[in-house]
Amino acid sequence: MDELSPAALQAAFAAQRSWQDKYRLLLSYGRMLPEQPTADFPADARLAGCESEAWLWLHGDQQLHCAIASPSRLVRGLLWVLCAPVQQATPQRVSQFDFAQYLTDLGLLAHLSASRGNGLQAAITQLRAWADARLPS
Amino acid sequence: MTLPFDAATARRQFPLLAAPEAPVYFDNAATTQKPFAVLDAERNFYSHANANAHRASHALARAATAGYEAARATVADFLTVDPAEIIFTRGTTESLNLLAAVLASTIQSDDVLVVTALEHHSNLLPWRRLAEQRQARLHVIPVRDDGVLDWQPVDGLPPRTRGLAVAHVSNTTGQRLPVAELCAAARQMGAWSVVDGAQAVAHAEVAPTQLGCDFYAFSGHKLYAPLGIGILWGRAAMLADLPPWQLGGGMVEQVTADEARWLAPPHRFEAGTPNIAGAIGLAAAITFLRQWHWQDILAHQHRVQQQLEIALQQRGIVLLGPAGQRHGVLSLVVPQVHPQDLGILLDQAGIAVRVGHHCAMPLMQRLGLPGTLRLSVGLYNTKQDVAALVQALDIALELLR
Repeated sequence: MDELSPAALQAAFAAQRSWQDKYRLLLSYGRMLPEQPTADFPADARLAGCESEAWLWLHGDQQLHCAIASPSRLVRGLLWVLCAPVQQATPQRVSQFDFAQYLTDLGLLAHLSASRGNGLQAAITQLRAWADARLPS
Repeated sequence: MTLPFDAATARRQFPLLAAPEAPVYFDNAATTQKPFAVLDAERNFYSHANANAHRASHALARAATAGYEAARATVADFLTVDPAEIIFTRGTTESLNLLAAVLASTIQSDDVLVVTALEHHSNLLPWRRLAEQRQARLHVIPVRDDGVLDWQPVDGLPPRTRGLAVAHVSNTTGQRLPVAELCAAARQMGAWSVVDGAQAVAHAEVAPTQLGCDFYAFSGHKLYAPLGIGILWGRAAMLADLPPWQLGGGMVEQVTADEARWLAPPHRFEAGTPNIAGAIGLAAAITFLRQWHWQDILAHQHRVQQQLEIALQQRGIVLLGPAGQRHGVLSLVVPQVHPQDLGILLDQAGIAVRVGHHCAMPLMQRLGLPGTLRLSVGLYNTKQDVAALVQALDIALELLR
């Protein structure tokens, strides 16, 4: 899938007039991703939550590769958008990226309830952990 | 003297629903909104009558005690039982855990405890643990593929059944279970029976003595009453022989250096300072509801639910449970659509629903579902709410299909 820059994604979301159009966009990003994780997803890729099942597998050493799965198409779309700016990024870049601001700029954080927001929060925590484990201490 | 029930008028008594940011609220099985009468009753208690109950004898304490015991009498009257059979707890979950603890000694090794596959975790896990602790067997009455309980009276209960715990109405499928028949079967075998009334209390006539059960539990917050207050009804003859659960102040007659004598029920089971404000709030909710005929409220809820059912079925949505006999909840399964996607989009459109397993994971596993989207009706839902839901649903389905 093409990696869109934060600026490009921001433009794409800003162009949406209504919440329906914003979600249509999210759904389109999620459409191509799998519902269930493949066998190589490790157990700790599972993101915990009451309403959803979601997996985010972060692998690679000098370059981040994100693999996403969820039976919920919207959750897949949200995770894809979250990871898009840091696909193939270095640990340095991932560590410095302001995910919260990025999501706010896309106008997505405001749309999320606390429980779904915490799902994204768990994903952000995983991304930071991936980066921190690979930065020189 | 009761008034004719009108949902629009009743609705105006609920401040949260009048707020501009209020959603269209279809999550009443999770909890209900509170009318001014309940809010005022709690506030009045703390403002004018707050003291500990059953402890001191000064005027304020007498007022608190009187309020608490009057609340007990109101609940008893609502259930058509004796006040001495009403125990105040924190809620259904606490009531059921209390029972599992105090009934433990009635269960011997190789005895059978019976539950159903529809049970909420709160009416499953305490019995499962009890069975493990007493080396007894837990028998689960199954459901069919459509989620309807697979049991007829002719099926009876397994040999050595010593206890039965069953929901009155399923919080997931809305089915009213054949509780009277199940309890009769239990009684014939000399087994006690416990009924989980959490979902039923706002959607059915609740008269435990007519059901023929030994114990009945429900939560105030599902009946337009405050959080943190619940009821355990127990037949007097059963309660008389049961040991206490929590020990402490308020449930003893006499304590010496060596021993303690417990009070009679219900106070035997009410250790510690009670939730007096909650009890008074629950009584206020019951009094609020009784300005109308209960049957008229049920009929209104049923009508709203029928409108929902028709609209959903027109859109090819599958509903769990027995058609035409769902009491207050509708669980939706939309082919090719994950319930969470639907829930997120409905939330965007200002509709409050619940998505997930509804604390009934074994049922979801049995039905092969990741969860369902659940709509649950309250007395204040109107046909305008139905129209708003349907509109939002159409937008969501268009996005998702």
